[in-house]
Amino acid sequence: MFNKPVSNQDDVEREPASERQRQSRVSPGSAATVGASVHMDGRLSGEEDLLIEGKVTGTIEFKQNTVTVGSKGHILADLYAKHCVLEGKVEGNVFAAESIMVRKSAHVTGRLVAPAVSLEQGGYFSGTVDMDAETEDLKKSFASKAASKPSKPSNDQATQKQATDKDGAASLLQAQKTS
Amino acid sequence: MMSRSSPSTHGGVQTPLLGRLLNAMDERQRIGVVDFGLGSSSVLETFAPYRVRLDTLDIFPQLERWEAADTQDERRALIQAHVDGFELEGIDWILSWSLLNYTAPLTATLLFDALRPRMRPTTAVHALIEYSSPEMPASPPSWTIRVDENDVSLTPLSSEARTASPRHTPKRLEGMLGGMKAQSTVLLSNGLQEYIFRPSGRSDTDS
Repeated sequence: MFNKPVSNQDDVEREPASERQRQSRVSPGSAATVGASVHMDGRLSGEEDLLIEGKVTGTIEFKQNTVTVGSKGHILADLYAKHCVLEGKVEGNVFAAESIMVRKSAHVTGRLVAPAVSLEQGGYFSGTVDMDAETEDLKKSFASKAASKPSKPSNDQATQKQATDKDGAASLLQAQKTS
Repeated sequence: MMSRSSPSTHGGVQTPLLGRLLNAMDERQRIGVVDFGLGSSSVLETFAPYRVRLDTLDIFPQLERWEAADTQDERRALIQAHVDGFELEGIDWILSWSLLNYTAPLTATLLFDALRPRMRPTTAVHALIEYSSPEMPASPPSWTIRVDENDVSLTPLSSEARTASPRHTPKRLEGMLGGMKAQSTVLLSNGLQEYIFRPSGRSDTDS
């Protein structure tokens, strides 16, 4: 009875390295960064890890990578990534192929969809969490590039509008450095 | 059925009916869980091995506004709008840990009216209700769920402030839940009553 697998988040010492890694945030300098003063509106995509400390509206697609919404970050966007670490303000749907970690500092409104969703010990949330690896939403989001349909970008006039591709991550980093 | 549970070995209170529900879960089947409270790390951990969609309605902060509505129709509309915001799928479980103690009977009825279109004939409502004490915490406790090999327990974290407890009877609760019947109930070691409600017309022998 009750012998089904149960994870224990506060038992960090016994977690394998891969587990610790997937719950690790992206550090400044180790990935592309949207700096605190940067506001973006549109579709943001790339193939390297991303740290968001600014404000992003629209769609964020880093399906092979880790995206961290830092404590100063604010996204009003649908976010697609392999792993997500949420520390800041998130308004929208978050789809992760593998895992979502919600830190105590995060304020999340919307759906979290991933095979593994964890909440920092002592943290609370309101909203929807879908931990079904076989859910259609997840299959559609990560089956193929063609299958993913980014949501319509907002018409909201933001401070700066940029659409990026793989190479765009470099310009993001540049924007952060010069901002 | 009525029996009394034992204290948990690690400070919480054993909740045998919740244990029964968890033990009957099928890892292959997708299930929808609606929690009237806030989602917590322990609830997520408990459901992590399963194909679960968890919607945390967090109704307590809404109650004052809902119950200040001038008319029943207005209250119904406010509750419906809150529920609609979640775009719920089929509901297999509803978790109401202490929340019904703080909810006016009409509000509870309207809330279940709003949820009913998404409920299944087998939907289980797991509720913790104040029973023994004439007083209860002024606001709903935060509950930590712990699942061991032989024991499922819940540990409350509550404020010192106290308020009068409504001590709802099973019959009143069935009225509040609009057509749900108490299938099983256990008096817990901390004086709370643990319930499983199911839609009326359903056989008690159904799993």
